Amino acid sequence: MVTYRDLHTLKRSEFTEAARGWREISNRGRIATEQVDNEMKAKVRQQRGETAGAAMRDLTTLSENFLYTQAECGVIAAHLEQLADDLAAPRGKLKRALDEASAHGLTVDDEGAVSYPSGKNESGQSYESGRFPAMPPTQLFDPQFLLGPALAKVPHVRKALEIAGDIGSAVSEADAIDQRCSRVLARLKTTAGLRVTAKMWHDTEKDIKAAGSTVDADDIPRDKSPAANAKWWKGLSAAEQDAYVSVHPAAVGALDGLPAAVRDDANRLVLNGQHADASLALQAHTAKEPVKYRMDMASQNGPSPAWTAWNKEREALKSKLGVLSQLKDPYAGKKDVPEHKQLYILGLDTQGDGKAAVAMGNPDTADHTAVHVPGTGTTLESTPGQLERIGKLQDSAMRNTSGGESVSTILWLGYDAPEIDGSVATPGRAHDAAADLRSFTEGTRTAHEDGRSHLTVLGHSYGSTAVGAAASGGPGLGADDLVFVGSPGTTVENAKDLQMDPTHVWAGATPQDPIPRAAADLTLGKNPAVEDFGAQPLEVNDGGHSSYWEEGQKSLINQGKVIAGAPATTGPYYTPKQVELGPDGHTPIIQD
Amino acid sequence: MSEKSEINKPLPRMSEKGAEDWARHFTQSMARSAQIEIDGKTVKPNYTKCVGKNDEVPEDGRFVLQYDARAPLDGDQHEQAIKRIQAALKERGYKTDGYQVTKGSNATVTLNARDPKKGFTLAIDGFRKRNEIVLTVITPCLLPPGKEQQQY
Repeated sequence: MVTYRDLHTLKRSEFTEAARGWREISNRGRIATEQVDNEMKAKVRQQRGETAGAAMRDLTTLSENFLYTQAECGVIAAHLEQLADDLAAPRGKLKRALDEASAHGLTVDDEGAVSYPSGKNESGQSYESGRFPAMPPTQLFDPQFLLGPALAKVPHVRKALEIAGDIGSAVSEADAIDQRCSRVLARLKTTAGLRVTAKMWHDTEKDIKAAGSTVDADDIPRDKSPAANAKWWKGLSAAEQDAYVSVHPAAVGALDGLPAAVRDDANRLVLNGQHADASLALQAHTAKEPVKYRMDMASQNGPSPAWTAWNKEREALKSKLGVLSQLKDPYAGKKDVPEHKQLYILGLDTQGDGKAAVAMGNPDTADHTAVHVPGTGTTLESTPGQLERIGKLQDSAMRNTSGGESVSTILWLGYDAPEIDGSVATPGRAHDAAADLRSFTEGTRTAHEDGRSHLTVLGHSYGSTAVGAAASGGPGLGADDLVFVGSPGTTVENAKDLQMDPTHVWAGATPQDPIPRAAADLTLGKNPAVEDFGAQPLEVNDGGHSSYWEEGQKSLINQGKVIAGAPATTGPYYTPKQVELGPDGHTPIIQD
Repeated sequence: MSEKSEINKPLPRMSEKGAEDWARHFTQSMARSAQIEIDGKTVKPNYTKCVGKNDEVPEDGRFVLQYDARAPLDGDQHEQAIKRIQAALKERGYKTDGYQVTKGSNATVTLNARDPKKGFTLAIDGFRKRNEIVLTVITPCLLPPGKEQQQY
């Protein structure tokens, strides 16, 4: 309980100092996490055998502990900063009350009670000195009733009563703030031991939410340009930046224009919470396994419907957890992971089919950056395969650069890619994605440390439709090169409509790929690989709809060349007459 | 990967070390043919996992190796050197998939070739601007010996 004396002697700087200390511990947790992940694990990855495996598991636990320390200490710091801020109002109110008491010749004692001296009223009647305890005015009676008609007319007696009310309300407000903060801080409990469990991460999410008002969520830019987002971020103090990452990680992690390292820090806090949720959900679901086989004739043909439904849900939960685990520790068990393979999570949303933006290599320092937009049927569950693909694109590009140049490739699944149903036949999802994709590429430009890097945007399948919609709308994508592969149409009829030099628009489609063949030239626009679209014909190898990343093949090699700004080999334009059966079993839908 | 029979077709087997040793040997062999010398500091083995057509990533240890090596050579000599490599590869039964000379400020000489039986591919590029030839060997999807192939 806060007393008058506590509030009178309060030094808010003590709270801000304490917050700074907790923030420092939080930052050390972050640095230690990075050291374990980037340095210690890298050394162990070079070792083989059971001992190395055990060491790697221990380091992963250690890394999680430091990350947990970062998150929880960040929350404590945020609360203390909030406490210091909130106490400014009652502290100021008390100071004003004391100044006023002094000005009116009133005294305030150690308990906050206000005393007035004896005197005479306007009618010449004497009255004794008196004392009013500090109480919020809501608890006071009407002055006329409390003081009586004679005293109620004496100005400095009324003033003493009024000041006692002000002091009382200041103390009361401070007490309410203290209690609120105490309740939240009291919840920040952890268990003994070195293992951060899913339950603990789950609780961390709640702790973060409880700290919601520390830095105001309303101050985080919404629907602003990446440049405005970056300006807002740069205008914050380091402590404020840390607080926003700690308290509003999802909102900060999604802001285009902010440094990739910041977004990655924020989104990894989100990821840990989501991973914990998924882990707990799987545990809970597993515990509810229904009877698989019933001892009756009806179930002789296989598992019961209830078990089948339960198992389907279990597989979905396992799959989601697997994806999140891979994002958390993508190189578990791998040796020699170089810096350019480090993942930066630039966006993460596990709701519905899920959305993600993940960079391989730091896009803020890369000389060449490529944004890969996948297409039909891609969901968050596709992430492991899609990450391998951007890895292959990066390797393919890097061999074309000079030794000192770096390449970052980004998976952008920031839109709701259509399923193979009616939604793939309309450009609706592509147009929905356009503004977000433009914001993302503009943000990539804005966050780059050394000015312009060479930026390529690649669209596969319906992803090319989304890229086309984004390039042709608004101010365009601002890309140096565009690549369309396996496209069912780009929403436009000519490369000139993409608001960039058509000689830097590349398109390839294999004759065996059924998607350009069946879906282009209908509702999504012209096949960009045909001659009169006006793009450069990117030479591709034979193969089906997913053949554009086959190792050592022309499609992948040429995409790498475009990403690196090297001359790609050009092939013949696409013509339907080239169609033949694909070697990977993709049979064309329409035969000549 | 595609239809069941093709997805589960036995993969060629080779360990990562075996693949890397072979790639080193082969890039050095190409360099000898071209009469150039690989700068040992530029050698870079890149490993990725194999990916199926529906984005599936098997966890049975299968991998792809892209092995890059660079050799300095004056841009004027790129065409001649790469033609020597092409001739040597032809003798070994490799098939040329493409040969392209690009002129201009970003001039390059490009040769793509492959072993039609084993699926190993080669990419050779001469970058005139920086007087450098890049030799790359890319393996097909390989499964290390002793590992059980994951079935789909």
